[in-house]
Amino acid sequence: MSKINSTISRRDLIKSLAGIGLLSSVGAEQLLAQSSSAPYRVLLVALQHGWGISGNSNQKMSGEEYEFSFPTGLSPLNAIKQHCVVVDSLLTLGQWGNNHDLSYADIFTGGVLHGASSSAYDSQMPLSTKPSLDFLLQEASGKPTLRLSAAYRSWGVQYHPISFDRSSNVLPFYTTALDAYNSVFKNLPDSGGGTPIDSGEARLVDSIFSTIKNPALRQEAALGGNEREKIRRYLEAITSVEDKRKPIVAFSGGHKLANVPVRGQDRFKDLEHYLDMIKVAFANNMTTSAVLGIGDIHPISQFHHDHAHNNTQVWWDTRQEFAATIANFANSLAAITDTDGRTLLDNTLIVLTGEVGDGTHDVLSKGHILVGGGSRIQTGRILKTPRISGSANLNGLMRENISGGTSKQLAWVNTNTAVLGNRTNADLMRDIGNIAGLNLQEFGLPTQNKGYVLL
Amino acid sequence: MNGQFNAGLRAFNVNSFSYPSTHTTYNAETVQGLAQFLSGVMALYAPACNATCMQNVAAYLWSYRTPVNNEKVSVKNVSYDESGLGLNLSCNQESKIVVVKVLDPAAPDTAENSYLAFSSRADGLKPVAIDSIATLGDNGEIALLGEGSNIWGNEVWFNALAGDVDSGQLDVTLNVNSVTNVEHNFAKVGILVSSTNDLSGQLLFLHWSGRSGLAEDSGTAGFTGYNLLLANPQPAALTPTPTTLRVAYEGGALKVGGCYNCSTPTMQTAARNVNFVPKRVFIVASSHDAPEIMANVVVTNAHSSQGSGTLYETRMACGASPVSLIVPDSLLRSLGELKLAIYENGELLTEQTAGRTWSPAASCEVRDSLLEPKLRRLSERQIMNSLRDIFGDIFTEELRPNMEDGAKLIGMNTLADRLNVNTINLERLYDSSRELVRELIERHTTIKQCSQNASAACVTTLLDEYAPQLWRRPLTTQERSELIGQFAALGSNTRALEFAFNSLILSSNFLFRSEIGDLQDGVRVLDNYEIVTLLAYSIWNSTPDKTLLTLAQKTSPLTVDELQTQVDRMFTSPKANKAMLEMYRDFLKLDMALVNPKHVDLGFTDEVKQDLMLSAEKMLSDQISAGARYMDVFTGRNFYVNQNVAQFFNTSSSSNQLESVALDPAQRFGILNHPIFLSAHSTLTHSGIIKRGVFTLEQLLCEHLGAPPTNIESDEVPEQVDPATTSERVLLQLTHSSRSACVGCHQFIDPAGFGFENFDVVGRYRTVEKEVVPIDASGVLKTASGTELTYQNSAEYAAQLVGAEQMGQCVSRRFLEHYLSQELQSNSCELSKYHNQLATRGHTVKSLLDAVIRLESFTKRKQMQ
Repeated sequence: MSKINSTISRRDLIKSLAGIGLLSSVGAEQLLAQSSSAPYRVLLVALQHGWGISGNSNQKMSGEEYEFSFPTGLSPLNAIKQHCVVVDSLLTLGQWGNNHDLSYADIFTGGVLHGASSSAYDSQMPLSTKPSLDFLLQEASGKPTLRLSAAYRSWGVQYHPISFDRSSNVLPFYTTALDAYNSVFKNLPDSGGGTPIDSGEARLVDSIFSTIKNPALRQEAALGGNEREKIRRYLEAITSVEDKRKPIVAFSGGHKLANVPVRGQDRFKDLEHYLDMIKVAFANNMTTSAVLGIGDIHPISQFHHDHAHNNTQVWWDTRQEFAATIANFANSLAAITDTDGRTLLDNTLIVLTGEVGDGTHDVLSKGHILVGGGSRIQTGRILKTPRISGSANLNGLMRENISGGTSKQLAWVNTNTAVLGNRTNADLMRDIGNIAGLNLQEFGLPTQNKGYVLL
Repeated sequence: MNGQFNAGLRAFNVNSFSYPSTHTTYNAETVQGLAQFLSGVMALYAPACNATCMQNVAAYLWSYRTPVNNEKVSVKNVSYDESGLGLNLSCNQESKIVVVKVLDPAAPDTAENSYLAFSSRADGLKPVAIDSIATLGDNGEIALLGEGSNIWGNEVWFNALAGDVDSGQLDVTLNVNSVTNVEHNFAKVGILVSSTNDLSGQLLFLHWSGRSGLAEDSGTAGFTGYNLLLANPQPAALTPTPTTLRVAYEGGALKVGGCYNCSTPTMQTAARNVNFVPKRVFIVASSHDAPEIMANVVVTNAHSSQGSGTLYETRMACGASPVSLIVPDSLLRSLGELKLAIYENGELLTEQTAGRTWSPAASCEVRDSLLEPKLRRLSERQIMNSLRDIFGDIFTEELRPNMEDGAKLIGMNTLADRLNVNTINLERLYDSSRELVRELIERHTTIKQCSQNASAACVTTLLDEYAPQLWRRPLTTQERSELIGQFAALGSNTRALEFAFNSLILSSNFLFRSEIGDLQDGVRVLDNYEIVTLLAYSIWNSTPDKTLLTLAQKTSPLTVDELQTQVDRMFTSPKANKAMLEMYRDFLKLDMALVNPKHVDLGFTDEVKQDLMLSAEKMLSDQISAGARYMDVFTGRNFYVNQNVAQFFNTSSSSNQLESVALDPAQRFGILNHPIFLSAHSTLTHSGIIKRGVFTLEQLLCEHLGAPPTNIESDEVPEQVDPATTSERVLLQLTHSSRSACVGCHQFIDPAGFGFENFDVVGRYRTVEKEVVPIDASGVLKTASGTELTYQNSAEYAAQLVGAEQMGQCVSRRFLEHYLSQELQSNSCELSKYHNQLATRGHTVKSLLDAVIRLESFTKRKQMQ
């Protein structure tokens, strides 16, 4: 009998096992999709009034670098603190007005000019002159960021301006879970192959999109400045909608939404669905970046002035609730095995911040909480930023202004006594971007790049 | 140095130095003495001249340098606008001749600005651009181009730099350093003095001549007399250079002098008894024949004036009766500022600057204040209005696309730079469009018939019918071809119709209204289709109808009369009332009541909100009529009530339908006291003094509040104060408004909000809060703009607000921003003209449109940046 040297590839083995029913088709797909590397996902979370981690807060982190505890108001995070990095103090905006409204555009861009106080978008809110981190991640990956707003809005705007492209355009957010579902998830197949497309419908859709581009292209060529930018955005939107209407192809992963949102559900339900959508989108590699804005969704009377401004127990109760939501979400990511064999939480960095550090509008010592992402950063620690103090040093902190020069970043602080962090939100966003695979030498306004935070 | 100092001292007694109360005349020697005195003091006697002394000296010199109206001359009623410069001049002592100069204050003191330039030819003496005949070197040497066929007899032809001579104060030295390109013996370079401003009077010409030495010509309106001053030592060669020539008027006599290679020629009286009071001096270069010569000269004028950058100058008699002077704008280079200097006998009498202003009649185009060209995306409402007006009311309202535009709390929602197309709203629009077009094919009789027709020709016919209406202009051949070219491949009329109408609706040509225009003479002129589109969306908030599109076909621009005819026609349509209502609704931000959350215990359900909104719309609609004043729309004592919403009006009703009810005028006045307005501007559970105050100031009164400070903190309620028995108004003062960081703004904000305190969070009338605390809705509102309103209760407050001129001005400003889709500054040219137009037309509702069509920016825009 001849010796039979038979080797079988891993791929053939998996397919064979699936073929004889010892492995589910989903499981087989997952195994087949596994590789030695997995994309690094980033979820940016902006919570109205912040998480309470700031220099002015009445509840502080306790302990030291690797042995620490979250305060009572964020106690649910203690259960996942091994996955957390707390960045204790970042200088974000500076001082020239109402920090809520000035800061929205700066949270993820570091790009609001000193002195800017209004825009065509809203009479209270300036815009950023730099793109946001999520836009850069979207550009690099080629996959659109999932942007979701759970009533993260005020005055009359539908969503706060927190994501920007390179032309300072505010990028839109889905404002209800149902809208997001209808746009992003509704037409996806459960798994496996694509949905057959009627050829006549396909031809019709193609014809519509190809035809409407022509006059717009001619119009764009004839215009200048802002008016040309309007048509450029229009054309960009056409391309985006056109891509979504192309015949659906199968995707790997097979993760499905737990539930489908319904019209008119409350914001808490929306938030729950949003997190589910983010998990599914990340797990199925539909995108590698998401932004989530969470507003004042608790119906508490005089919440802003009476509770947030005073960091009352009522305010902290809402922070605790959000912390529990995040902890649950982190655990749900940890329960998913990613394509490289690690957990999805290991490959997902969740950034918890807000337009202010706490209810007292602190933007000078704003704390950030990072959850997950352990495949590329060391977690389970408090990261203390270098400090800066002294009148000469603090008065030397400058920021680019609306007149083309620079202005002192601090206005209302006692520079003789204040001690601030000597790193900024721009520094953190830059480091996160580079950890996620970008190659950023600088992020946001040049003056806001002071040094490493995570690297 | 000591000699000069002592000489200076003799001129001024430093020990009894005092600041002169009046300006007196000083001649050049005195000025020199002053300067010597000062330098002497600084160098030798600084300790002796103490601070007071030096202060007096400095003040004295300053007063000498920049005298103001004084005993001698008075300049009044100075105006400088787009028509030019005007002033009244009078002299307070004896009548005199003065020189008035209008100067560019920013111009450096160069030869270009010290001289006028002329060319004299057969057709006369003409001013020319100085740089066409002369350039100034860094060393002060002037290169003067010499042209002109002759300079003898009646042919006094040359190029020249010129200056005026004040009352015979003439002492000019001309150093002729070199003259090149000389071919003719009688090529001449020299000093020509005239008894008039031109060459019509007596003339004296002291000159260097090509090969004929230095000589002196004279005559009247020409040269008939000749006198050789100094012969050419080498007649075969050019007359030597450098040469110095000098002409002076001294002791009542004209004197001349010239020498070769010397600096101080010997002076003698002019030959042939030529003598006159010089009025103008010309530095002349004349080539006699081609080619041109180039004379390199240096001019020294012992009586040179302080002025520079001369735009205009004239001599005029000045007496006790004011004399007016008008200088047309065409001579003034449209500078932002002018310097006005008046001299007598070389002495500066007065000097002042005049900044450019604009007369009320000055056009916005002249002021470079036209608005910007814009693309304006249609709002959701405009999209649906347009489709309904084109195809009929066949669409389901639920298919209206949700563009997620949100609202701008301060300002109008329809600003061009607010509404955009993005990836999310276009997706919604696409989905809506697909459904709308399906309804169109199903419900529109003609279109449905075509979808069922075997022949494809009807699709093209429908395209030709509706495409120009959707795009608000005729399609180009290329556009039409691009659409029609797809029909055949789509396989059926239904598909072709779906393709055609979706392509038309989703196109940027439908979604964006163009106010771009074509560039003509530096401004963008809107074409007729853009103008009728602007008119239609202003009056109807919808697409132009066939009458307007037909009118737009005319090849010449639409006139104001033609536009007025259309305004008159369009205003009779119910669409005008509806569009006006939508504008008021946006201004008041009533839609915020539909989205701002209220506590569930208040019973402010969606159904209640809808009924209250309808109630407000009916109230506004009743008040809107062509002849009504647009501010009266905010008034009214009748409110629409049904049983669902009666409690919010503190009344009762048994009707399911909204019925007009007269409510107590002591409690409610107008739309500002309507529950929907009050709910839009309140908090979850509280009336919202600050919210209502800020909205009143910024949106209703166009006051600009600065940004709040960075760390907003509140004080604790004082221990002795029980919040349960203290009004919110008082608590606000105690915990927040009185803080030093807050009082600056809250002194305005709080009184602006107190006036609504008779109404709770959802607009119910109240006289107590917290069950036991009396409501105080009185106050005094003082705005930074000077408006002051004193009120005792909310109804009174609302009435006073609506009656305030400031609110009227603000409302019209916001409405103009709505029509023209751009934010306007309070000093905007177009806004000023709009207000003037409204004032002449009675501030009626219709006048809002009658006035806007008369603005320049309705048909023209500035060039794109």
